[in-house]
Amino acid sequence: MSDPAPTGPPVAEPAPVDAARWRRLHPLSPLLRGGLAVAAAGAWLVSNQVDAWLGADSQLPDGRPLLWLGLAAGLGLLALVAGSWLSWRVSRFRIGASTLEVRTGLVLRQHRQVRYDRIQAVDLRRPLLARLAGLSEVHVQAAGSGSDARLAFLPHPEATEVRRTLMALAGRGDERDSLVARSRPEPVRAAPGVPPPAGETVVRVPAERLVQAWLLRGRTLGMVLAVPVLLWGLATGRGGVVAAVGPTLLAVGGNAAKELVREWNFHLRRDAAGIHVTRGLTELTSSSVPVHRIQALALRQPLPWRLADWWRIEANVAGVGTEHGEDDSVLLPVGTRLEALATLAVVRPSSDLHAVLDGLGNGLGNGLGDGLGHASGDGTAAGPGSGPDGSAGHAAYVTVPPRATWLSPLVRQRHGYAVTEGALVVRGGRLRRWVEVVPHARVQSLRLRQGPVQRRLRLATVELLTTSGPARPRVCHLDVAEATRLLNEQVRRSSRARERVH
Amino acid sequence: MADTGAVTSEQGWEPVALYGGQGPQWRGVSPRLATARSIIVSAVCAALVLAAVALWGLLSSPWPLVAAVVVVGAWLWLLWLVRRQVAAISWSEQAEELVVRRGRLRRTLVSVPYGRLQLADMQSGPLARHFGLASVQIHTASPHSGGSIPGLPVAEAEALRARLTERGESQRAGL
Repeated sequence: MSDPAPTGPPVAEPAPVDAARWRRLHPLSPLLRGGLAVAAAGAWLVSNQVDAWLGADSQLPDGRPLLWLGLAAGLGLLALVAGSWLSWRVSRFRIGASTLEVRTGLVLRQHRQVRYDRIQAVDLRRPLLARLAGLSEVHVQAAGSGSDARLAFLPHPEATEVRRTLMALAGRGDERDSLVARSRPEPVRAAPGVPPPAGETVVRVPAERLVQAWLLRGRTLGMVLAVPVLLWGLATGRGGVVAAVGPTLLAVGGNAAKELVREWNFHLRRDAAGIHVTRGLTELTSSSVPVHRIQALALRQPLPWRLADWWRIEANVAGVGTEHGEDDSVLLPVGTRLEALATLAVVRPSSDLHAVLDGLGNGLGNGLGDGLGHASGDGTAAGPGSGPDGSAGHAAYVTVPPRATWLSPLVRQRHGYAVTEGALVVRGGRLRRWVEVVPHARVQSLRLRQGPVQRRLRLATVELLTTSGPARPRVCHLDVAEATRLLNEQVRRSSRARERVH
Repeated sequence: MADTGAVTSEQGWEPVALYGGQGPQWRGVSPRLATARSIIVSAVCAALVLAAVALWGLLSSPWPLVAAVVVVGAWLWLLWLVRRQVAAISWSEQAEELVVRRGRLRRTLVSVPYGRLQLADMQSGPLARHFGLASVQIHTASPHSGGSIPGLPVAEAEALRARLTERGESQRAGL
């Protein structure tokens, strides 16, 4: 690591508060942000050309072109270094009284302000090169699209400190001044290289399980089947087969590989500020999500995972939903039942885990009561655990009436909802099981639907709408009276819950 | 704030349902909406029929005439459908939520709590303005969860929007 850069000389502007101090990024930042790639590309090009010119066929008189080339390369390098230096000089940021301010740009000056109360999440990203240089990027996600701020790059300990400060500021708007004052004198690089106090580990996903789970997916089977087809197509020269299978295989395989790389080293921690996710193989990402921004949870189990009773948890996070892609919504890429419950307990302490557990159904060769005892400490209400199969003992679940078989023959027995103290739990899926949890206070609105066939069968569907994300809870084909009752009661429950929260 | 027939007593809320409830709390929309929509439908259908007839004259093949007859049939059916659909829209201001019902074949009921309201706005196109109508749109933090009440007389829409905004402010909850 090079010199400790952050304490740049005070800039000409008067600093109104001591806390509002302009800081600089790390001097290597511009290079890492893309200059290095340009330099590498240039060097590669030059070296290629030199090879060609110095090769056997030297049509050019030696010396002169080489000299020019060397000169040009030197000038280019100089320009690059000078540009980087200038770019570094003009990029500054400060953690002000109520906003994070970032100034960038030499020609096109940009001054971006992010108000602390608009901050949704603060991530730490470490691409491979930056990681080698001991640097990190702080990515501040703010409400409203296009209003993110990136601080790329800072020395890792400082980045961690900046992120912690921002998280604390984003959480409590009223204490910001004292917090800034408190966090500033803190020695930043007390122990370089040592990760900062990380809080309590909730789940850490081992690599071998991630790989196993990744292989145990339906799409793996599809790929295994597709590869011989592709080879056969190639061997027999059938262009149509290759054209049909090849791109699909590439796309699916690429996505799957990306997912694996993204979820490698998955580590979920929690501390006072919220929950933190660290993940990534090449690019290490740490993101923090304030718990109160989680709107709903979805637990899913692809069919092969039932062998090992693994579950995947994704969340609807306010403001993260669509624009940042789904990778930010994963709370647990693959975990055992216990880990899933532990994750749930962290994310939503108020919701009743028994109902969720009941919704998970029975794994193969995995005692329910066991999981219950570990997960919630009190084994008193372990009633559902004794059932020999998933359908037993779901007293709390209101299920779909038998006549709904006409509309969904497979799902009927599992599909239903349960009302717990803090949340509504919906379960479903015969082959691909799922459970979705919506806290009462997070329901945005409710919808009741009835199509012509449902009408004949006196059924109706209830949808609970939350912010957009992977969880879209709905109970299909309930008895009309039951559906109406759910709607009306849920409106009251949600409103009571909102009053309690605020 | 309760200057309307909205149910405001705590215990006295009446459960909302897909059917029935033609009581005082449910209000329909203006029948002029059906007229406005019929005009749009008629304009499109008339254009199609004219085109088909013109084509028949040019080609001297019977098929455009068949198409014209089909379009006329669809036209009549649509006119009937528009009336039914407009008649099926009803809305109600409950103590804590706004409820909108629509549809007859495929029924939908949307219930939006006032506390979840981010924005209520009013829209009125040229045709709707001519008939003195406006629609009130309701937005929440979820992109799918809003609702809209079309075909309200402008004054009523204005009043509803104001009431909704006021209740939204007083019952506002964060995300």
